[in-house]
Amino acid sequence: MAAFVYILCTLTSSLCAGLLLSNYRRTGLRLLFWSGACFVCLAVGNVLLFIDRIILPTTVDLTIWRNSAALTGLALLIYGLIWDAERMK
Amino acid sequence: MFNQFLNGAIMTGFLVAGLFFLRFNRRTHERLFAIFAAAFFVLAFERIVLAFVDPTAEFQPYVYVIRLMAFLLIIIAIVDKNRGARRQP
Amino acid sequence: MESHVPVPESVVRFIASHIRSLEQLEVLLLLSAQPHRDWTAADVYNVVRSSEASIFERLDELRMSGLLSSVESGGSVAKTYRFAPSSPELAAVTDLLAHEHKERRVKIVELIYSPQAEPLKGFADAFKFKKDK
Repeated sequence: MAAFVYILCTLTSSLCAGLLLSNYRRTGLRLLFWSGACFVCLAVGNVLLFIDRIILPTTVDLTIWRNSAALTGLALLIYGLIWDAERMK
Repeated sequence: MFNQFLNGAIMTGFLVAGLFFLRFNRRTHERLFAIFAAAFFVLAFERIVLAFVDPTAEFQPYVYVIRLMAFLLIIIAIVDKNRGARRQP
Repeated sequence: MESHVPVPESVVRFIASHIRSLEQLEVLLLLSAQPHRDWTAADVYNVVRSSEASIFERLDELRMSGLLSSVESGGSVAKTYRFAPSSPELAAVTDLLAHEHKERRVKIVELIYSPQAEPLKGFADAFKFKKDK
């Protein structure tokens, strides 16, 4: 059950990342780059969660890496939302 | 300790991003933004819960159902966007 | 006949950064066609028949972008505008824009409302699986 949750979250973030980044390649809109990068980081975080909980539950604690991935993604996203979400006049 | 710091920063990040999406929805009347805002608020809420739940507690993995809800919202947003697109002439 | 040479990059960038609406484009083209003439908002309105209030706003926007200069004489009613690009690059790109507009008006108008102008629309559209072009 937990594995299903982690996998679905990973797939959804990857889908969003894929859609945003492929459209970035097509249109050159910078906002798509930042948000795409964010979802990549969230996907990485979810993969690490899967590894942390399901594959290596007792050997390592990847919490700090998961959190760093999420924080990095959010920093990129917020940067993009502030600077590249609207045309400057 | 550092993980709690990261957790708080991530929560704030999701909150701010959610607020941006809410504002974009207000401006563009694009439903996708409202749903993304909700998803990000849920992800922010997940962080609050994670901060207070003991990582070794038995039910801890169920906290990630909250994350699942957020990503389901994102899926709904994508589906809704594509359903609407087809209905337009 | 539509040529397959793409619109010059400088024009695309100019539209993305300076032109927000069709009305604004028409006002700019009108004033740049007669660069030695001073225009009041009423003069412009007589040609571009949208609304005097919005004409006034467009003229002011263009002035703040460095494309027009204005002279106040006795209150805002008698304020006149004249095409006066603040740099030779702006003059050149406006010239090019006017030429492109004459050659392919539809394409130029499309560029005004393209996703480059609306990143948010581009974001929402990114999630559409079937793109309408």
